[in-house]
Amino acid sequence: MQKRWSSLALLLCCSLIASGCTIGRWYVGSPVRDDPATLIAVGETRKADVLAHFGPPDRILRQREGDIFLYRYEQRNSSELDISEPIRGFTLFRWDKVQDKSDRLMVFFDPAGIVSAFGYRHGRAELEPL
Amino acid sequence: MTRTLGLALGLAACLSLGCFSIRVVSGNSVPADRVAAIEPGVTTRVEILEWFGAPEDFTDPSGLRRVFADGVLLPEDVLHLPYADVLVFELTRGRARGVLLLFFNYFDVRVANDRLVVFFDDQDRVLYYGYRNDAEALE
Repeated sequence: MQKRWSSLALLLCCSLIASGCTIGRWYVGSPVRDDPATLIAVGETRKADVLAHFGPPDRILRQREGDIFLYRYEQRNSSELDISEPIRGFTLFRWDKVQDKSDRLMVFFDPAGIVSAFGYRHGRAELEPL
Repeated sequence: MTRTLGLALGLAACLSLGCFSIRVVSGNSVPADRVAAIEPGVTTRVEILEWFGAPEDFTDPSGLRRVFADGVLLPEDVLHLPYADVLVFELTRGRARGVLLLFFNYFDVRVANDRLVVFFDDQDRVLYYGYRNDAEALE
């Protein structure tokens, strides 16, 4: 009887060993330093002010109508649960969830270097914990 | 029998544990003291190149203007730098850390950079610049 229980426990342990949960976090870039809505005024704010407040952009798009600055801070949350059959490695159950969100600020300038428009999205606020 | 099984499982559990830490650096350092010395309207492109060396990237608006103005795509200039009005100096740092347990793994990856972007006017003097040093936090 005891031997049977031991075998059962061993089998259960082997099954659990073949299972696993992985949580990952990726952060790329730098957070947008300040609230753009309070610092940028369309038709007034100059390119130098934007650079002073928000630092160098992650991307500069050059256009005839003026430059575009793009600031981006990306975060990826990934969660994975995998339960496999221990002998052959056959997957019995797998659950994956990947959330890719970013805070993005895009600032448009006119040819004189004055902000003509801007857009901001605090995408990381939409991330769920798991 | 139970004791042996427990010991075997304990040993297997210990062997299955681990952690990792990986650090990656790409690019050249951007000296902060030199950045503080940049004065818009005063500092020249020659000084910027002398202080920070060859940039990681640049743009050439003169070529862009030619394309837009003439509607003709001219061959690229062999020597770009004298016409560049934006220079980019950058150091990128990456850090990955994690723990590997028996049933649970966790990892955390962060990538940040020190970056200096300098704009020049027609007289080759600094028009404005932006700087950040977020890679330092990953050291």
